[in-house]
Amino acid sequence: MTEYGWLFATLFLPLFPLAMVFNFVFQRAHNSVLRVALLLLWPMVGLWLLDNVVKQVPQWVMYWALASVLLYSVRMLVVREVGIWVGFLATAGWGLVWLSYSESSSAATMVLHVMAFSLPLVLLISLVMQLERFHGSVFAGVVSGVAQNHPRVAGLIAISVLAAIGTPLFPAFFSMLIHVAQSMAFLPVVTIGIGVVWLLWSWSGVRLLQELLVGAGEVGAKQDITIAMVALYAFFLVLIIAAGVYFLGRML
Amino acid sequence: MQQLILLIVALPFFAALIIQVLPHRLGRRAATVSLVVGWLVLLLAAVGLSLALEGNQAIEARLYDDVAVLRIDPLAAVMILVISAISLIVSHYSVRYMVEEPGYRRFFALLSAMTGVLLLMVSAGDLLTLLVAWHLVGVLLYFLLAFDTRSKSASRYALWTWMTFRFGDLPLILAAVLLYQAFDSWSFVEIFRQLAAAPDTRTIFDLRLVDVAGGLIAVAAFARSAQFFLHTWLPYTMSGPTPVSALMHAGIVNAGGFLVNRFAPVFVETSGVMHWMFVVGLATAVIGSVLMLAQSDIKKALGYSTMGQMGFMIMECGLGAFSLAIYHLIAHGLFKGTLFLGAGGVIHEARKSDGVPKDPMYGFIVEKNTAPSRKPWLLMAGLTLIVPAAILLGAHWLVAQDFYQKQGAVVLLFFGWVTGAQLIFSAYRMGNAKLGRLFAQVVISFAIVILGYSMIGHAFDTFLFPDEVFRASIYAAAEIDVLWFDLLVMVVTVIIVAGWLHTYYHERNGRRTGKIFSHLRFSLYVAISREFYVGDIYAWLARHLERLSVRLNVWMRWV
Repeated sequence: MTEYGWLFATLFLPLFPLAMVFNFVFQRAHNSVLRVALLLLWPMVGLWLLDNVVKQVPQWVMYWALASVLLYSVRMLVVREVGIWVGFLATAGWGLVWLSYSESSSAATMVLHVMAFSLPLVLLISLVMQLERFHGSVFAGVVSGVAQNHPRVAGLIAISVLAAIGTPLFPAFFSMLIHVAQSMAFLPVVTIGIGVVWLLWSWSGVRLLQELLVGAGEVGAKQDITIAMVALYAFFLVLIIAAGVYFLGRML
Repeated sequence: MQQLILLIVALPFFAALIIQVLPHRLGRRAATVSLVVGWLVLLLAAVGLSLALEGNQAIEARLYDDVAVLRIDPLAAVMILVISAISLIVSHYSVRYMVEEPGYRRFFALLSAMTGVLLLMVSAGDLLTLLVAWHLVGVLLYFLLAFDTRSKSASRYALWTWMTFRFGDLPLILAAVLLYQAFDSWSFVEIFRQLAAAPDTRTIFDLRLVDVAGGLIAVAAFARSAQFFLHTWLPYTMSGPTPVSALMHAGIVNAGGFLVNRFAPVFVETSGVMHWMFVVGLATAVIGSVLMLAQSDIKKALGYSTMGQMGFMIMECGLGAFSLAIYHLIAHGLFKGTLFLGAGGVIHEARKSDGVPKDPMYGFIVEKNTAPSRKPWLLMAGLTLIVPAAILLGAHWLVAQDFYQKQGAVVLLFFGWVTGAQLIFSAYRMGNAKLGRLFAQVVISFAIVILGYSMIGHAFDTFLFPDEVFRASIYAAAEIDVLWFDLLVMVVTVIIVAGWLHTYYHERNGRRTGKIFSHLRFSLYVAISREFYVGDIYAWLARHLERLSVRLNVWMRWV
């Protein structure tokens, strides 16, 4: 069991093709609480396996992980359903943990890397739920002009997407920077791969925002969240930034 | 003094926060907050520059060990003043220009935040702060360009800008990581100190660190300064608000020149990187200028003009004239900002009168104007070649007599020569009846510009890089073998002289081109009108990648 324990871990720190299981479950979970729970807990199982069960991970798993992360990053480019997009980005982001994993990696560090992607996505999913309340579903392109009709939600969605795709000063930025630094030291080819992944996320993230936020909007559909809710989200974002700078920024 | 730099950087962010957090109470007064803070920052920037001019040591504020360091050295002092001044002008212009736009307050919040990020970028004293600021400039520019959230086209072209900037961020990240891993510090001062002590430090694949890092930094500068192949975002971002275009062309696009200057101690040790910078800059300058001439839209023409100017700026860096690039970016920023802010007025005027000069034949037959007398073509060609050369040589002899020892300076002299000759040729082609007077005006203007350019350029050189040995070593890093250089100088001189003689001869005696040349010219015109297909190639690549993405998703059932 312990010899192949890493194989089970690839289900929870998802690598293709086992990543399809996570995405299948995530897409079928329509309850927001369940989605949030999946984003927070699913990778934790993988980290627990890595920390407690896995003895050794073959080096080629790193290349498998890079290929898997690249695959999901390319697939994200045309995704317009925000729920699917979140699942794909979570898959790609968590998969990066394999690139910097070694027997000496501390569990706390890996939790920080995973949370750097999970937390902004939790925020995004909760905002998407708000939009679903207004429109029934959130399919970018079909639902458009959100910035006109729901400016507060639009602003928060924009910031959450930026946080998830590794924009400074959010934790995902520092996490990516650490992955780049660690891989550069032993395998520069992997570093190039990480760079391409980062670029693909930027592309897909901003395309999603464009499809969702830009446009004339529906006439008479102006609804928005309250100022108190905005303050709550803003507080959460500031907290994420502070935690990222403090915990991950220090590791640089 | 630490408070000075902290205030300079923090105030614009503070203004952005106030504007964003208290929108309803502020109403249209959001602009006032931005302006007051803008003036305050400009005042503090002037204090910072005056301290630097007095020869004080660099002001430094450290927030955490060797990261989050802010530093005002001569380069930062100059750039802070330029950014705060241009930003303030743009803010003043926007007060009325943007008044009828929805999201007026959001615009000023973004503008203030952008000013803050630019100031953070130029005053960064460590690699990490520079990376953060460098990255955030792209983020904020995207939101400024896509300010009109109803416009799909503005958003589409903002995406081009975003992607090019992100592409340029990555090499800088790689260079920063390499430098950090080699010297175990993020601080510029510490890295440059260690680099000077061990310039042959090795990095990945046993390559020289300075060459790899220098090459990566150069690519980052190319993307930010719209060099050829990474330029398509610049002319197409005209759907954004005019003040944003002005800010972008006057300030943001110049970041490449700043970056090269910031990493001067790296470039000075490189072998070959600066030559590539020269080649890329030259190609961009020529292609940008050619594309500019082919445009019929004033804003797009200005966009390509900026591309050409950025090419020249990078080329100057490639020749070792780092400080001249800074002077160039300031001068270009001021005149391009003016042109953009005045573009609306020009378009308004053009609707009343197109301003197209009357055809000389029309003037001769209908208005009975006498045909202007033409001077002998050989005399004019001679004057065209000799006068600018004499002015350039004289001006440089007055300013710095050792000028001719530097290869880079000699190459720049050639560009000045060709520019001066073009100016005189344009005056000749106007066919003005009072040619002598026009000629004198052109020559005097040219002499003043060149003398001013030489004097200010020299002053910048000594201010930004006070160490004479270091100054000389920058030029030395750009040099090539003397024999090859002399040969190139001779060949280029012959080409320029022959080219102008040929031009004047055909101007006088009519142009005759064969069938093959006509065909070639037509093909070239088609390629230029399609902007050398660069945008088409990118669109094709993007389309195919998206198709691949769709196929993969369909095969894998979107899970």
